[in-house]
Amino acid sequence: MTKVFQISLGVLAAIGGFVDIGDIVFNAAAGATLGYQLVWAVVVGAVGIMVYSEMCGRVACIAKRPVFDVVRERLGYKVGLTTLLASQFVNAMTCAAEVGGVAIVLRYLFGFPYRPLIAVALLLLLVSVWFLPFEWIERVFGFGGLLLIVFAVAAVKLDPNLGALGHGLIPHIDTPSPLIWCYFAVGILGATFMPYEVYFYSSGGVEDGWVPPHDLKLNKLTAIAGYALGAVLSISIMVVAAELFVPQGIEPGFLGTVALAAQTPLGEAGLLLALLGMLFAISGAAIDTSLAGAYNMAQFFGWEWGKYRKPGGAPRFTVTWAAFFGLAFLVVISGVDPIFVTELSVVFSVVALPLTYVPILLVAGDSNYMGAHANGRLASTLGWLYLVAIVVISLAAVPLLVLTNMGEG
Amino acid sequence: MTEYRFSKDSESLQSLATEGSLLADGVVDGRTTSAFVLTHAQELASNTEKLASVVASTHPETGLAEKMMRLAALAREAASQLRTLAGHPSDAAAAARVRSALTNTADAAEKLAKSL
Amino acid sequence: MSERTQLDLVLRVHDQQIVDWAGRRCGNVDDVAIDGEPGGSATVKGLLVGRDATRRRRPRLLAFVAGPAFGDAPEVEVSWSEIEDITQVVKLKKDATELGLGAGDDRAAKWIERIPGS
Repeated sequence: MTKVFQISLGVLAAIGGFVDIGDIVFNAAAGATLGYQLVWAVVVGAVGIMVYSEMCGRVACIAKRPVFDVVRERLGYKVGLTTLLASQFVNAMTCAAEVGGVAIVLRYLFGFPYRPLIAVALLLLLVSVWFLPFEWIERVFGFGGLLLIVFAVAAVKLDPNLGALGHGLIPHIDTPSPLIWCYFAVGILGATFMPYEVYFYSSGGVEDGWVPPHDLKLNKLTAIAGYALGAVLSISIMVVAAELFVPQGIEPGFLGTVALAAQTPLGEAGLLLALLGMLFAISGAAIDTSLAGAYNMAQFFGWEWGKYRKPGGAPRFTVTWAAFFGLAFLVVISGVDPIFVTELSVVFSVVALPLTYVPILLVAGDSNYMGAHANGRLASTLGWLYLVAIVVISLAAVPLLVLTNMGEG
Repeated sequence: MTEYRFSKDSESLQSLATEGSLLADGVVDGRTTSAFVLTHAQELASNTEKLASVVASTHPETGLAEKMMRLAALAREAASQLRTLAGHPSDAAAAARVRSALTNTADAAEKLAKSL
Repeated sequence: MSERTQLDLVLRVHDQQIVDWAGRRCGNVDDVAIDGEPGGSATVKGLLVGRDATRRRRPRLLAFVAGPAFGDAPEVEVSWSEIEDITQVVKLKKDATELGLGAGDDRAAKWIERIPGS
């Protein structure tokens, strides 16, 4: 696989995983509620997912093990099974939210009723994963999601307060509701650390047969560049929300509100680019989550797996990702608000996160597995620092959800 | 309905009305698409109707009854304007009237929130 | 088999992915069968694969969760002599089907292959 295609693996994982329906609405809500106060959270989250993703990629390259293979081995069957169930629950919720998000964006684009569009969204996603080879999934959804750069353009056009933006890089509370500040901080960190991104990324690395030293460098570049771009897009959404919504007292409760933020400075072209960018990014995230769910099951139970294979070459893996889409369809068609489901999935994924992070941290630092490529001083320091951060936010997430009424006060 | 809740509901109405006004603005200037306006106006109208229903059906604290009735009436009016916008997503003249009405509603909701 | 004098059964065998001679993934090492009594000599008989092998290892609250097997055998014992090599995976000398492994994938494949594009 050429270098360009390999980097696009990271771009897909980054765009689809970093900027999914949860990130779009959460960053817009944080910007509209708190202005620039949580820019630092996006940066801290981005560095964290770079660390996590780089370790996963390195483990895939050197030890040839994807995440759930390592989870079972290092945590044992008992804890590993609990981790699997928790992760699959979160994957299923996230997939449902993304499928619903795709239907919502299709509605904004075409104006047709919502419920039939849920079926259209399901069909498009099933057909894409069934027929498109892995590289084409990356190209179509990864690069399509890059249209979200329109928010960066909109942010520049709105002539943001750069002083306030810079001040936002330093954690500070400037609101009468510190609990709401904490809720959004945990939400943004949780949304950037969605683990399905790394399940997908590490499995792709094993499928692709990464070998050192070339692919190790590529892994680092992909992790850094991909998630850095994702962070820029997330901050752009926060900026447009801060500049447009705070002065007018608008609380973004819909994806359409975020699209309006691109339309206001950039007109119809901005609106269409924003909607198309959202369509590809959210679709990419839906595909990521369904495949991640299938990878997890297959790797934990030892089934054949792989998106490079035709569907018949990995039958139970195929049935599993299709089942994730099917379950997502049933959840969304029942009438549950996809944005509500997203907020819950972000919170619950934060709770389960330490269980998948710890085995990777241990293996990445273990020279029995990694030889000379075990965590160096920087990776080790960052890895353990982020473990502390992850444990803190995992303990705080549910209480904050309840105490702040999901950020509404 | 406590003063805190009333204040929050007033702010919600202000937000919905302002957003509707922004949406209508796009139609007036021809800088949006009909499909988007139709869909988003329906979403905003639906939420505004829910807000009106909740406000109208809640028991007020002492001294809030009149303000609550006013808020519910504003919400119903805003929902009606949003439905009009959804029904005429490419009509600039209709959108201009809706924009003006929703801007007034947003201002009135803001005054109600600050009147406590 | 690679030359080595010691093999860590816990770290290097337990829970490892099993692949057959053609590289097909066909289960994980769910347990290890050991012959012999405490106090006497013990030999590793083979690998145990299947949900019955994991029954003892499942948390009590999740005892009912065996994982959707789609027709996998409840337990298969793969003799130690059938193992070609142990590296990041346990590689077998024979085909998975010959050893009774991967039946679930074979069964699911019959349905998947009816769909165009599979």
